[in-house]
Amino acid sequence: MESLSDKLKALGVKLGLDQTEPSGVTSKTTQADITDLLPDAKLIPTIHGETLWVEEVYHGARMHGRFQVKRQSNFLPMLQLLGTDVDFDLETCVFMDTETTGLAGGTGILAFMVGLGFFRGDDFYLYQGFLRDPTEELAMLTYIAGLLEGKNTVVTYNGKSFDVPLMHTRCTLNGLEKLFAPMYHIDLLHLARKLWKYRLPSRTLGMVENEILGFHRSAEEVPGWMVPELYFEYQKTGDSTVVLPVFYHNAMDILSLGVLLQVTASLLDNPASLDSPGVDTVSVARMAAEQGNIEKAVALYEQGLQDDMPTEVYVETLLRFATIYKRDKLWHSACVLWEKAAEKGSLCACEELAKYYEHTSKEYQVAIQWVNQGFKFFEEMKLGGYERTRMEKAWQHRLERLLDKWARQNKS
Amino acid sequence: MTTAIEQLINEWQSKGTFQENFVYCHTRARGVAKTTPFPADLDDRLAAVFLRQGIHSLFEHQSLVWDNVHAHRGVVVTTPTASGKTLAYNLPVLQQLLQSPHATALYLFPTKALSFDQLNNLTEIADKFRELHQFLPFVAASYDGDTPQSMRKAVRDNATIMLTNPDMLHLGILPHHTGWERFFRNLSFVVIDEIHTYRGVFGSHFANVMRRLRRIAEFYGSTPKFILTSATIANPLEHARHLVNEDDIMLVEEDGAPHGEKYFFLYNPPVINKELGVRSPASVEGIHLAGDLLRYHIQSILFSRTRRGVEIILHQLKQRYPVALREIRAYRSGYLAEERRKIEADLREGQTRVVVATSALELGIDIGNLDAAILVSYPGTISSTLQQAGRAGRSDKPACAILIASANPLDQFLVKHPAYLFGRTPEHVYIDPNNLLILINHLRSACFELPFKEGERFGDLDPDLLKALLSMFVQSGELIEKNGKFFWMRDAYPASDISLRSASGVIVTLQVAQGDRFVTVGEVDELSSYWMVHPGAVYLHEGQMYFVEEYDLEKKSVHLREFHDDYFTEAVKHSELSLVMQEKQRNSGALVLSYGEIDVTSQVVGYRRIRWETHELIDQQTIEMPSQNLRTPAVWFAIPELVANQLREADLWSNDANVYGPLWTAIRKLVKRRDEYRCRLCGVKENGQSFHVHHKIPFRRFATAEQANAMDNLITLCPACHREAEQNLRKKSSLSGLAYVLHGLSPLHLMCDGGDIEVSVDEDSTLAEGETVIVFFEMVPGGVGLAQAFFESFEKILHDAYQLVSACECKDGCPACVGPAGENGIGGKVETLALLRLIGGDEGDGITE
Repeated sequence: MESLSDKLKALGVKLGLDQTEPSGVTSKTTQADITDLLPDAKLIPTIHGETLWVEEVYHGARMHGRFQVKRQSNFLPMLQLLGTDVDFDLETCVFMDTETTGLAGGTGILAFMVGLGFFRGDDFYLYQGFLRDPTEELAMLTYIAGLLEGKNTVVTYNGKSFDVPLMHTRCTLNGLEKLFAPMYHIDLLHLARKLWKYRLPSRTLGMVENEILGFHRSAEEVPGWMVPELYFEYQKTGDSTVVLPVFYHNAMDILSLGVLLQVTASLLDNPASLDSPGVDTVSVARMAAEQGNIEKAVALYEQGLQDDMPTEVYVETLLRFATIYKRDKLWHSACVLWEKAAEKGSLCACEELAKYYEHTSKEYQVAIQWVNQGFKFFEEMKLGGYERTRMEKAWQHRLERLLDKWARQNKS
Repeated sequence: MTTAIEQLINEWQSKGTFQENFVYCHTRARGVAKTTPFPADLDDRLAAVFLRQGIHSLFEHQSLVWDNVHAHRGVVVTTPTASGKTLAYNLPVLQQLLQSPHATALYLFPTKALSFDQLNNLTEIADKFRELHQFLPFVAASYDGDTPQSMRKAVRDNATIMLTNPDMLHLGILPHHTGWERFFRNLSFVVIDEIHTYRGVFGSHFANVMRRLRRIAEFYGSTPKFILTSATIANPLEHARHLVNEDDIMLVEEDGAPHGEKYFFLYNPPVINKELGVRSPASVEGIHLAGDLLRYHIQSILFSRTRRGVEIILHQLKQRYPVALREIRAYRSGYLAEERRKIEADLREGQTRVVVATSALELGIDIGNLDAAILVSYPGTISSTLQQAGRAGRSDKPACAILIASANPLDQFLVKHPAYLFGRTPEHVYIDPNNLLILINHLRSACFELPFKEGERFGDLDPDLLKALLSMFVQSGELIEKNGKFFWMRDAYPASDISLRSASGVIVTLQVAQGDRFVTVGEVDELSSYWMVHPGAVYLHEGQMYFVEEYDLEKKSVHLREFHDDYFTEAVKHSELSLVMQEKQRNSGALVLSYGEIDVTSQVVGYRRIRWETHELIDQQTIEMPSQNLRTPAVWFAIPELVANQLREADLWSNDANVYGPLWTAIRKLVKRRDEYRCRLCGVKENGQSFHVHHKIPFRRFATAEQANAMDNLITLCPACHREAEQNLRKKSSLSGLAYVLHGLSPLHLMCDGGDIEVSVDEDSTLAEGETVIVFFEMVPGGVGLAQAFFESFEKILHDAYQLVSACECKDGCPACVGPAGENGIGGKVETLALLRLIGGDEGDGITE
């Protein structure tokens, strides 16, 4: 009689992912228990069984990169920018990050570690729950529900699309209410995207940590993509040492979240206070403008433009800034900005200037100069194909019209 | 007063060729509506909506569905096309949704086009309802690959009727069921339309998707009722129960809808070459008949199997009958609802008189009813035939349908045995949800969706097997077991490893060049790709014919181009069979049938090019594809020695002496001299007794004596060896012929494609201690129940085979019976008939006519 696995093999079925390594449960007795390796770990009883937690306190004065763990911050501008009226208090925030068995999403992905952080007084309290096996999940979630009491804001990095939906899936599967549903959610990834678009090549938490917070992780760090495999290894062998780095990884994620929220708030309040480069200041200016806070936007644009920045960002900023003046018909101020941009070769600026001198001030000769300047830039841009023909036509048309208008003006 | 149809039929009958071509006419008498009043407990507000739509009462079957649902039973409805099946299931569902506003219903359709149609239907009801009662009774929404991302959350949060297809349910919904918590918690109904389409591999997958659905419903504490519909099949109830794993399902098949008189003709085209048994092409005859219908102003629909067929018919019809463009139109898959509405409107107003369509139109999509339907060749299943023919028929007027037979064996069999079409259908739908290859990935998905608990069942899967599979997953590290629960422990999304239309999940993509890039138009299972899409193959996909330019074995992609020639291809395989395990045996007359598992190692070594219309062989090409292994269930039988002896002794050719041509005497001498007057088999020298000169390939298989008498086809044999050679050849011909006809006829009983099964002659077989056997096996690894069904229905199929071969008009084998004459080892009608008689094919009763 053929065995089941031989039969499957004959049908072409592949079993498991690692075909080469015959896996199986190795003896767990020789392996260190997690509670031995983490002396601070506590087994907390709940009505649904025990759950394992590690707690740590970080003093407010401790440095996390360039910043103290706890700093004075004005959160109001950030909250205005987010458009929320949540009754914000750093003490009612929970910082949350999960470590999971995969990124694929769906009900088969487990959050085997949930890290939560809270500010209490001057200090930052870190709680990390860990599933020694999946049967402890209900106990862990139950304990989390208790920790979350009185909290009204959850702060994450990419939690809107990943951690929170995943936690809610886990709640539903365990027959619990969705833990974070009643809370206001600040996803710092969304703010980071807007703030550091110009500065950072990517907006991963690691990148933000290095470049913005100036924090670098120790040798204990494991990259996030390895995390699921480490947990599988732990499940397979019972060897707790393999998952120890995950505790460090998760702790640093949470701590960075706590610091990053304050740094972000400070930056949005007053970029100068952090000694940030001009590119950050103009990013904040842009966000203020989008939100309708023109006064602040103007002040920050002016301030930011004092600083050196890449030409592309500089030109884009001048043009954005100019639209504020243009809208209010403050033509002189707008023209100053456009001319600065035109100096750096901006075709858009030439167009704006040509339009202003043609339609508003009716100084056709000046307008013609700007059109000619535009033609020059246009040649340098080396556009091809359809786009080139289209733009050439438009500019040619503008030039002819202006020459016509100028001629008539001279006649009369 | 006679109607146009009756006048036309009179005209046909007055022709001399009527008897020859219109080989059968089935008349269905007019039927009056069997109606019942709205059920007393039907919500008044709902009744008002239907009254507004002009519905004043229910047909009998609709109220039977209502009664069954209210008795908390599942139902499967099998009434014909256009009998109001939609209302039959909508009625109880809408009533429930109206009475408990949180209740939800899941509607499953095999195609997106169908769910689109039904969504429109529901939207109309909802609009009417709001008009009358100022509120929306339900929120109907479709959720499939076309639903924009931005809309998906709204559907998840709000839909009370969700329309989707099995692929979306399997891939996008079940593994994310927590996002559908509200929907599943309140799930009251699961409606599954057209369940006959869930057969074979697709059906076996579907049944597993249902097992997963039921687990999730159970998790949320809901117990939905099932309402299913099906076209006519032999085992609707058994299939429905098997498909959804539910015993408490009742069958409703009494059609209460009214219908006019219906004439259903079977039409066999005239024979244009008697020797080769070649008939006039079905499409040519179809165009003739369509012309007649046009002349009589009878609105009609022509069905063709391929898009190309549709195009050719359309083109020739327009050429031959220069009428307004609108009067003759095509209808293919991919038409938008708007275009359909336009065709419908033109049909209603009489602007369009002929619609030429592919089978895309056969499933429930509503284009209204017509007066006549012409089926250009048998669509492959009886249920398709009836669905297509059902497009013709109005409640108050006579209608007619004509099936034009092609040269295909099944076509020819059916026109000679109308009872298959008009009696009780022999078509059984088979699925095997426990096929290991199919089951295993669904089981993984189920583990991903919810942890298994010890003792939990997975549908009707053998609990021991379930346990063994789960512990195997534990061994391989995919699951961990803790406190009697099995948890998924992989960074993977197992549902994405399954394609519901392929057994193995390993797929080959089909791409067509569009400009400078390749666009994927479909996919095939890697296992069948070697014989379906080898280089040079002609591949039919959604009615369009493609030529295979290139097969990239590494990238698993195939490049196709559109193809407009009129031949198709058939792969030539070399297979080696070996026995894995024989599971059972039974006697069937003189034969012993065995059922078990075998390994098939096969390699595609070439392909034949065959004309579409006449099934003539054009030529055979050589190619080389990698060899493949297939583990599959099989049925086999050897020809007992007794039968073989009888076959040898039978003087089969007595009436058919060959005339070897005027030069025979001279050629004979030449051959003998070449062979040095020795028997080439035993080596004995001619001495006294005159030796024979033997045709290696029989003389009759050649068109001319010259070809048959080519030197390399002739050898010298002593009389004893000659006798043996002829006998072996005779046996070989008869076995090949029997294999051919069994393969051709089996789809009629097993409701499968010819490509799903193979019947071959295995000489010196390991299955039967070196004897020659005929082996039937499935082309899907592990099978989907077809071999099992063949094992059980063997006598019926054998009986049909005898009927088919004995009734065929050809002289010695043709594509429509035992295979075309002229091919080595195939043909031999007389021999096949003799064999069939010896093994009892002429006894018993297939379907009594």
